Amino acid sequence: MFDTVIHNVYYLSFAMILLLVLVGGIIAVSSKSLIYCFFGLVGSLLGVAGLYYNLGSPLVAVMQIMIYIGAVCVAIAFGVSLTRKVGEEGVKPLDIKAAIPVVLVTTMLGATLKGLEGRHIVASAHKVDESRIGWMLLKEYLLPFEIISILLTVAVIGAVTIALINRRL
Amino acid sequence: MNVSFVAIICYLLGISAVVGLNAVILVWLERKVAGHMQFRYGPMEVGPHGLLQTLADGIKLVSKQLVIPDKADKPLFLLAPVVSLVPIFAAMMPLPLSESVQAWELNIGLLFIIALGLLNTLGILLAGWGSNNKYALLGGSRAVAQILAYKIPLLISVMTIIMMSGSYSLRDIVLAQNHGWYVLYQPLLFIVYITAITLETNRSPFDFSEAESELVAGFHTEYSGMGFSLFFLAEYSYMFIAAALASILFLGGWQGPWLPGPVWSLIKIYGIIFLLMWFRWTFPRLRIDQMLSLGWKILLPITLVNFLVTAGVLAL
Repeated sequence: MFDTVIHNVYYLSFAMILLLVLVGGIIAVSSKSLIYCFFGLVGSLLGVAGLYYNLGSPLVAVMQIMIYIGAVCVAIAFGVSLTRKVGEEGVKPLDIKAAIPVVLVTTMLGATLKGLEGRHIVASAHKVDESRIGWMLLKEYLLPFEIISILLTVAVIGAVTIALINRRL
Repeated sequence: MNVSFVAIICYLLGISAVVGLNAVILVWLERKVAGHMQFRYGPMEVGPHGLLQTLADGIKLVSKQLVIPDKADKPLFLLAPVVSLVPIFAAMMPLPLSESVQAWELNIGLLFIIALGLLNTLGILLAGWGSNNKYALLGGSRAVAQILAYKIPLLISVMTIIMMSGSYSLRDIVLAQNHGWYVLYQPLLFIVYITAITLETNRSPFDFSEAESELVAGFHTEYSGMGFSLFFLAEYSYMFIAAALASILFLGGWQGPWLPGPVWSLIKIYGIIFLLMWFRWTFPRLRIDQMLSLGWKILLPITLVNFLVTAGVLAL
C-alpha cells in the first residue's frame, strides 16, 4: 500500500513540476508586467531543475538552480530593478509574430516524438557518478572545457569594454 | 519500503520541529543578547527569564489579521513569504547533526544547500515588488545588489574547503577533519566565511534590505501577522543553516570530546549564531557602497589568493 502511495506521490510531483514549467513559461512570455515575466521565468527554470532531479541527476539540477536562478535571473533582476516604471508600461503584448516560435517549437517537438517512435525508451535514468563528470571535464574533454572558459573570459572583457565606452561618452 | 515511508514522515516532522523551535529560541536569544549587551535584562515576564515570551508573541502573531495594502500586487504579496520559507525544508535535509542524525545523505549536499539558499533573495525581491511601497522596493533591490557581492567570495571559500576535503558531501567533509579542524589551517578563510554569512543572512552590520533607520522595515514594511512571522521563521532558519554549514566546514561538525555528536553540533551552531548576534550590537551598519566594495575589493581577492595558495600547497 505504501509502495503505491510513494509511486503516486512521485507521479504527482512530476505532474506538478511539469505544470510549474509550463505555467511559468506561459507567464514569462505572455505577461504584460515585466516583474511577472521575471518570476514566470524563475518558476519555469526551477521546474526544469526539478525535471533534471526526476531524471536522476541531482548535480545538474543543483547547477541549474545555481547558474540559471542564482546567476542569470539575479543578473536579470538587477537589470530590471534599474529599469524605470516596471509593471506600468510593461512589455509589448503578443502580436502575430509570436506565432512563429510557437509553430517552430511545435514542429520540432513533433519531429522529436516522431523520431523516438519505435525506439526503446528506458523507464529510469542511468545514474552517473558525479566524480566521473569531474574527471571527464578535466581529462577527456579538457580542450572544449578550456575553449568555453576562454569564450566566457572574452565575453566578460567585452562587457567591461562596452561599459567603459559608455562611460567615456 | 514501509520503513522509508515512516522515515520520510519522521524527517519531515523533525525538520518542521527544528524550524519552529529554532525560531522560538533564537528570537528569545536575540532579545536577551541585545538586552544584556545594553545593560538591561530583556524579556523577563513570561516564563522563567522570559523563555515563553516568544510563544506568547507567536500566538499573538497568528491571531492577527494579515493586512494586504490596497494597491499591492496581491498574488506576489502573498507568495513572497512562502517562497522565502519553503526552500528551507529542503535545505535542512542534507545537514548532518551527527554521524547518524541526518535526513538525507546526498553526495552533493553542500551545493544543494547553497543553491537553495539563493531562493531567499527571490522571496525578498518578490516582497519588495508586491508591496507597492517605496521602502519595500528599495529593500528588495538592495537584496539583489547584496547577493552579487557576497555569493562569489562565499562560493570560492567553500570551494577551497571542498578542495581540501575532496568531497561535496557534508558528512565526508566532517570526517576529513578528524586530524584537525579546517579553522586551524584556514583562519583567514573562516573570517571571510563568517563575514559572508552575515551578509547572506541579512544581519546587521549588513542588514541593508531591512535597515530600520533608513527604510522603515525594508522589504517587510507592509507585512503583518503571519506574513511577517513567516519571513522571520525563514530568516532565523537561514541563520541556523548558515551557522551549521560554518560549523561543518570549519569547526569539525559533530566532533568533540566526551559529549555526544548532536550536542557538539548544537553547541557550535548556537555559538556561531551568538557571534552573529554579537556583531549586531558591536558594529554600526555600513553604507551600501561600502558593503559592495568590501565584497568585491577585499573579500574576493582574499579568497582568490587563498584558493590559489591552497591549491599550490595541496599539489606539492
